[in-house]
Amino acid sequence: MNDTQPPVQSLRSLVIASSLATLIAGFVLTAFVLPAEYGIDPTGIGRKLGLTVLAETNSIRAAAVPLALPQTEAATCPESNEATNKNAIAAKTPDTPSIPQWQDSVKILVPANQGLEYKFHLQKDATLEYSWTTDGAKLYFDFHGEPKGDTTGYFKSYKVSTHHKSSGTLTAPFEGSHGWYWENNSPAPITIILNTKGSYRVLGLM
Amino acid sequence: MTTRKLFLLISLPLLFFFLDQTAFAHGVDKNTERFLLANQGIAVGPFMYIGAKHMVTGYDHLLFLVGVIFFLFRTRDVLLYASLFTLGHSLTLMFGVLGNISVNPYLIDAIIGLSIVYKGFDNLGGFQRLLGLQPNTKIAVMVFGLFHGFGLATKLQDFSLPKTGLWKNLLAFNVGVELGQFLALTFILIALDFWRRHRSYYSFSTATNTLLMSSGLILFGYQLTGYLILG
Repeated sequence: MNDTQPPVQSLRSLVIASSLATLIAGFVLTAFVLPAEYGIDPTGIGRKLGLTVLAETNSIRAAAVPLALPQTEAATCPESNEATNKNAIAAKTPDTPSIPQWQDSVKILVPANQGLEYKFHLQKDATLEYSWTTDGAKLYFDFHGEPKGDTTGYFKSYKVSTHHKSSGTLTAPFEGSHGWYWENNSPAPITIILNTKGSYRVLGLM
Repeated sequence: MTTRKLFLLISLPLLFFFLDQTAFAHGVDKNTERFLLANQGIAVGPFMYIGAKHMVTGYDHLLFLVGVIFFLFRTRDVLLYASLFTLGHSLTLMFGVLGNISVNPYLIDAIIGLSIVYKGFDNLGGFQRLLGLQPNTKIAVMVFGLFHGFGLATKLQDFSLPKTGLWKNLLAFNVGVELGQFLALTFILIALDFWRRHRSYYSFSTATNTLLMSSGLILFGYQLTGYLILG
């Protein structure tokens, strides 16, 4: 600042400038920023402009909630004879897979514009039977495994795609953590239902 | 004149490219986050790019820089102040990450908001009028640079950066920050340079610095609320 002398404002214009700056900031904050970012809306302007919706999507965090598995007929009534069992199978709607009785079922929430990992620990040659689906929303996924104790960052991808569902069976090529990286590039959160079966240990959200 | 025109032609598309990017104050976008999480070992190019991008799209840094060079007319001075800012920035970034020092990002960003308010007030001659003295502008830029760097260090620590080649990656990141700052300064200077030829620059300088203070206060309130609610 040795070469230029910025004009020194009078006290009056300083006070005006500072109060004006504070007023503008206060208004923009309470009317727009706080409602949109945190859902704090003292004026009600944020709600009128629909800004508070943004805060709701902001506050959604990644989550994985285990689901109670539907009990099978056989499990609920162990004394049931073959006849009733046959009836039960016949009564099933054709679109529900009747064969695999899942071991675990989990509901995973992927927030808007975020990615997350959900993993299982498998021994070498252990199997993981899986089937996951969203409510139709597509998302990028990378089904992969990382060898136990590896520090180089190596990972082996089994399946990489952008889809709303996927199912299959994995036989682990090595001991380590195996699972999915899902990335939701849409502006709305996506819920995934993941059903699994096999000899594994659930590691969960990473 | 012709070189200037040529320069503009080249730089304008670049400007639009950067404006097109979604800017987050101190945020690291999802792709970057993925890269940082998956990255192992030395990756000079990407880290340099992330550093540059962070600077060019970080509106809090840019506002502060606008305040700093608002009354600097000599290229030499602009470079000097920018270097001082970078020096502060680099010091805390390196020490913060290497020493695993983490500061609450909301608080740091709130302080960065205040740094913009400070500079706007300073440009209005506020300290001279109120205190009868001018705080050393070089020291101020340097000190605020330290805060800006801490903000970044804290952000980078959210990712478990690999220990192998960490300092090389950080160095690359830092060089990128410097490059990004140079690029951003170029654009700011072009804009100010055009404006300085008109008399309105001086008649509007009070308004501009008032707005600068206001923006800083908005950032301050935004980050402080975040600290109180989520911090």
